Amino acid sequence: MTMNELDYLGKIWGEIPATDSSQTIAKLKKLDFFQKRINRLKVVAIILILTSLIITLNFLSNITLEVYIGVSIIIASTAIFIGYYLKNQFYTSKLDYGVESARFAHEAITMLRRQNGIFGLPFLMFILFMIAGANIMFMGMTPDSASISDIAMTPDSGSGSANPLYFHIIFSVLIALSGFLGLLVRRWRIRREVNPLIEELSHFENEQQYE
Amino acid sequence: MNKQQQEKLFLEVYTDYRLRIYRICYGYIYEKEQVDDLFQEIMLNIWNSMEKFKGDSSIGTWAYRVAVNTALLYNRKTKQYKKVSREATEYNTLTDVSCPDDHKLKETRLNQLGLSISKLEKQDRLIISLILEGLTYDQVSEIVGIKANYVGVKVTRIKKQLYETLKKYDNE
Repeated sequence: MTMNELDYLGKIWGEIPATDSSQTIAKLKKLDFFQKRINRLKVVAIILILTSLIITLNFLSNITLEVYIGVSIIIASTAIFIGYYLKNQFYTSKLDYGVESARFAHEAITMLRRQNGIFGLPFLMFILFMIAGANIMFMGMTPDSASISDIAMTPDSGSGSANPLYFHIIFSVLIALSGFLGLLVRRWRIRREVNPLIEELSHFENEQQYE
Repeated sequence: MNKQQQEKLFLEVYTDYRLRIYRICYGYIYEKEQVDDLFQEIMLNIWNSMEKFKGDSSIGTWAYRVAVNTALLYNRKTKQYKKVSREATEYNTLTDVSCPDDHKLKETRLNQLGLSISKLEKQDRLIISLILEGLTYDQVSEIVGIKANYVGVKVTRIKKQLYETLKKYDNE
């Protein structure tokens, strides 16, 4: 083997046959349409779930103000977190594949790190708001509890909330534990899938010298 | 860009560049099944990215960029973040088994080249594949986003590595 043979191999390189698909364009159009339809269905499903939850609450009796406030906090914090998550999630479709590779690697790394950042302070805030919303909701749901509006209208009634403290503690711990477990799973996936990719793209980015 | 323009531009890219892009996939992955998969993914990204093509580079340069960038992210999609097996010894069947001996020899050499390229680092595989396609250092520089003289330095280093690897096959 000589260096000239490398040039010969370069010549025969061009003889590698390729897959020929005459249906490529049709398949791509079908996939494009399918992906857009799935996204629309997801948005419609989320709106339907939230709407039905609100309608169900309206039909229930003995719904106190605390329940409304608690549920509102839960729905609002969920909506905000999901919105923040979707905005910062890494989608390959957000990348511009037509730019130089060094710049592409840099943008991909930025997006991946931004996605990792979702599960820091924003996620912690989300869990805290869920705990707060759930506790406020339970204040209005236990049998002996008095509504804030009832207390306001009869200031001398002397009746106060008789929510068992353990009830709040148990549910708060359960929500916190669920959040913690979810975080563990997410961190495991980040270590396994995302960080190696960031490392490799960083290696590629560092090896190149920008023009 | 309307659908008809998109389709016309895609057909132009597909007709003129699909074979070259396929060979880049081959150089990058070597395993036949994943080569086809990567190729399809590149075509999908070309189709989806058509609207972002502004004409600030040639359509060929743009298509190569999409191919290279798709390959950079490809392993993530397979959910098995692994390097191409350095122990791969199975040869891809590139030509008809009934062909004459000189074609067999060519096929053997091509497979050895493919295996040797698969042992390089990811970015080196992409660069050498572009060079084997006959692109100049300036063209590769435009695609990858590095200086042309640095492309030259990398190619020299890669060729030395390939030479050493291919020599081992000669000695077997």
